[in-house]
Amino acid sequence: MKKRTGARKSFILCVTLVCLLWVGSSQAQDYPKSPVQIVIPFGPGGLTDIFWRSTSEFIASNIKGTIVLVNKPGGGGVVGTSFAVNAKPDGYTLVSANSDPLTISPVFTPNVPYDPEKDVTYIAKLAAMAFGIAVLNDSPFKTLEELVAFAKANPKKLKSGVMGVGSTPHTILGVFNRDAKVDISYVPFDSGGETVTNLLGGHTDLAVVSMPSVKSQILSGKTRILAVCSPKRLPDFPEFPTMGEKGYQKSSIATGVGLAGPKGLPPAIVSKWEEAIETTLKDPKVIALIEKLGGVVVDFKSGEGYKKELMADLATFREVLPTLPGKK
Amino acid sequence: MEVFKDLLFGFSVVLQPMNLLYCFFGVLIGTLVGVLPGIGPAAALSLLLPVTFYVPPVSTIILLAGIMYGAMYGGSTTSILLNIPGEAASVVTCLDGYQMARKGRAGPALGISAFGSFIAGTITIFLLIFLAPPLANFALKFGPPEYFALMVLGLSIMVYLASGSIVNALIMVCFGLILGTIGLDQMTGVPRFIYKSTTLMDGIGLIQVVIGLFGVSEVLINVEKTFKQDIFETKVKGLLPNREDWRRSIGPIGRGSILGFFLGIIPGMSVVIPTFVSYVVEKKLSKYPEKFGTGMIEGVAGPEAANNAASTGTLVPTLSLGIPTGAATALLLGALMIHGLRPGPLLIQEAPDVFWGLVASLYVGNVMLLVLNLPLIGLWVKILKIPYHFLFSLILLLCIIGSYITNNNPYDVIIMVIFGLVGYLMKKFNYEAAPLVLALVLGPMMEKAFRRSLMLSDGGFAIFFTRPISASFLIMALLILLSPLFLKRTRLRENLRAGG
Amino acid sequence: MGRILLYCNLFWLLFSLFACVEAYRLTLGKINNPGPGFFPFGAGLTMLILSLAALFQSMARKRKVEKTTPQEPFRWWNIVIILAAITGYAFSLEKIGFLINTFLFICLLLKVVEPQTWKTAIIGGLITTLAANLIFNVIFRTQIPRGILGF
Repeated sequence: MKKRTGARKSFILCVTLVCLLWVGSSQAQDYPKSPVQIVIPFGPGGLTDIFWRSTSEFIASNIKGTIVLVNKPGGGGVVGTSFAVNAKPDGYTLVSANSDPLTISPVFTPNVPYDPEKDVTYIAKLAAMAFGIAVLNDSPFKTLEELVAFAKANPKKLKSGVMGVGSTPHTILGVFNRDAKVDISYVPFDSGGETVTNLLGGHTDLAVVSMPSVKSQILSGKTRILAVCSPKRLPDFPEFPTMGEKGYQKSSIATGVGLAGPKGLPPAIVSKWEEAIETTLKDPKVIALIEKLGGVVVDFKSGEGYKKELMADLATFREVLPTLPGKK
Repeated sequence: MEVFKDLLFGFSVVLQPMNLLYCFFGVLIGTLVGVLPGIGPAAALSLLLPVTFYVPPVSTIILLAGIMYGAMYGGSTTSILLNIPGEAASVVTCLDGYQMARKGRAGPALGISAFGSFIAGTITIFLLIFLAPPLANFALKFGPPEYFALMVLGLSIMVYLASGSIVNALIMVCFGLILGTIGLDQMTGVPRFIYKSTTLMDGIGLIQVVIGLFGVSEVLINVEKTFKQDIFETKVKGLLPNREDWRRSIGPIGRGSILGFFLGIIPGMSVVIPTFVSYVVEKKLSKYPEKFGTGMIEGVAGPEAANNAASTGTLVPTLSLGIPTGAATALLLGALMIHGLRPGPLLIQEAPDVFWGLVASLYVGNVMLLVLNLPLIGLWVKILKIPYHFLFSLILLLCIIGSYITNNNPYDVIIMVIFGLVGYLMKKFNYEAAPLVLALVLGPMMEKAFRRSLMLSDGGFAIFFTRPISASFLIMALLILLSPLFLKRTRLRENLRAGG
Repeated sequence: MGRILLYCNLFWLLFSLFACVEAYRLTLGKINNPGPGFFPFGAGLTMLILSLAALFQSMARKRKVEKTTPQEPFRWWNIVIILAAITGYAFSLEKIGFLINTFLFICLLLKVVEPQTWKTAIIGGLITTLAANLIFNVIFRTQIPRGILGF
């Protein structure tokens, strides 16, 4: 009798274990059972918004689920990001992980309600958006060197428009000022569009803007780019040198668009997304769509890879930002 | 003459059955979006963006433009019927439109609003065609100093907006200016009056304030006493504007169109401002300024025309220079870019069918909206017949959803509640909401323009006066502020002469 | 009425003082390099002056004896209920979900503010909820939360 009970017990134990394992993996298999909410921490119409709206259908079909995009703008991306990373880690609330709220805001803005290192599970990086230093076509500066020479001779005389404060362009100008040993004044604007408009009107001498926001002005011949902040020359604008080529590697900061979720997200779910996104980003249709935006380059990285990149950026910013003017 | 040929070409593009259908959907969705508070054209445009991938570029643009337009038409519907602004630009329509509805004249109010928008749309489309490129270049001349001067001018017209005590109105203006500073300072990233609330990081939402101040407070006022008396005069006096209404409205519509268009061209100019300006202008030109606020049709006709004209105006820099002027136009540009089109001076050359098709569709869209909205007036008016003891709960629900939906944030609803209470108290103690709203809109813009100007001039104030445009605005503002003194003097003289 | 005006102006006075103090703490900067506190301080200061002026004005003016004979009771409790109901709706929306919340909200309002029969309240609630569902969830596919029960 005892032997049988023992055998029975272990049999039940085995069956239970198998069931648990099966259920556990099928959870990942069934995922996503219901629509997944991806929070876009910026308003509708912005580049991040357009990016996700262009690509989410493709990603959704690759992960065999439905994606619902929710805008939660505010605080330069902090509001939406904080909402998503503080949600339940069940995989149904994710966030577009942009660099600015994760690497700049924690340094620049007080009381950011999350720790980018500990509170976030990084899923993947999707793309990188390049910035550029733009001048009007009839500007006296034909190359970056000329700009630097003039700026050295005339401190504080040049005015540069920047998109946002505590943002990547703001940081780019700050680092550039430091590395080129010049003093170009900032004039912050609220959006890429506004910055470009003021450049066109001649109110600022140059502008640090995202490539997509100035693309149509380049093509129509109104503006030129002195240098692009990107690791390689841009495919649609191969004639513009990169900041790295000019010797200002540290100023070559790009902004990344990725996907992330709250801490404690099950690894099975994370890898599902990684796979789906990698497949999507290999699709030539998707690549073409993204590149039409201009200055946005597909740059797939795994969750771990993205996290490494962002943490490196965070460290740089922690070092650089407090020294920038405009910060108390 | 070339232009007419191009225009005909444009019409041929639009009048194809598929495009007509897209136009229709666009204006239909736009109207619905406009009617519902809190959902603005930007939200609708972004929801529909994926759809546009499968649709040819011309049709996309027609669809999106239709939405923008429709929203302008729809926004005034709830303003007139329920005192809930469908969007911020419709706030001014609440002032007299709602009062007209209470007097049983909702039909004429809605009608003149539709017709006024239509006429404004027609006029401004022609202005757009002929004047777009030079106007766009003029618009570029507006840098921070010009914006500041314009904002100062805008605030100075406050003097005329107040119907009651000027001191109270000025206090409201200051209140609005202070409220406008809540949030992260856009220039230094320093949090102002946030007190650790992530909701307040981006400031107090305009739409929540406005829905609370107008919509909710109105309900609160009405529930004070029992509903024995009719909130709305149920005997609806006619569904359409009569001859008298037309006679009074033609001038405001014309003026509103011109004002709205030229103000709308300035990039970043909120559509709210031209409506306020139009209202004040009509009040100043009217023989009975004191009656404004009780249901004067001029107070509806002018701002509604200005509203629509301004949206056409915002298309000027968008189409000719490729510069987005707001969230809606940014989306429009985005959609164009996804299709590989480059908005800007090259658009006309590279894709004439898109450009002229768009222009022609604006006109067709306006016609469709008119045809769509007029019969709906009968339907809307019936809504007012719902007994108030049920209607008020619907109104409140609409207010809540409208406040929530902009950011999917329940705390926004709380802000609405607070301002509902504030609005209620303001009504009881004779403080006006309009100056508060205008200050809330103008304040942040004015402050940014001021600080940027000083950044450009390295701290020198001369920049405001050495640039011709900004100098002229400032002088105009000064004249307006000082004019009551002159007027008082002349009135005094008249009285003396009459008496003595 | 005079008394109420006095309280109002006192309120504005206090508010403007608060604004000025907070703004001052945000650094005013110099006149040609204004800091974040500059603008709110200016507005607060202006409000301070205005409310003082209004205060003196209301004290100096002869008190108008306005006795409004109340014909019906002033139902202030309705106002409180409505505001509380909306607040409750806001907080429970994400937990309970749109449809149930709407239903409860409408029923509550209909029953309490201007009392209707239970039948009217429930039917009204149902109709409204269904219509709201149609408009917001089906036609617009707006992103209103679904709550625990999934709808």
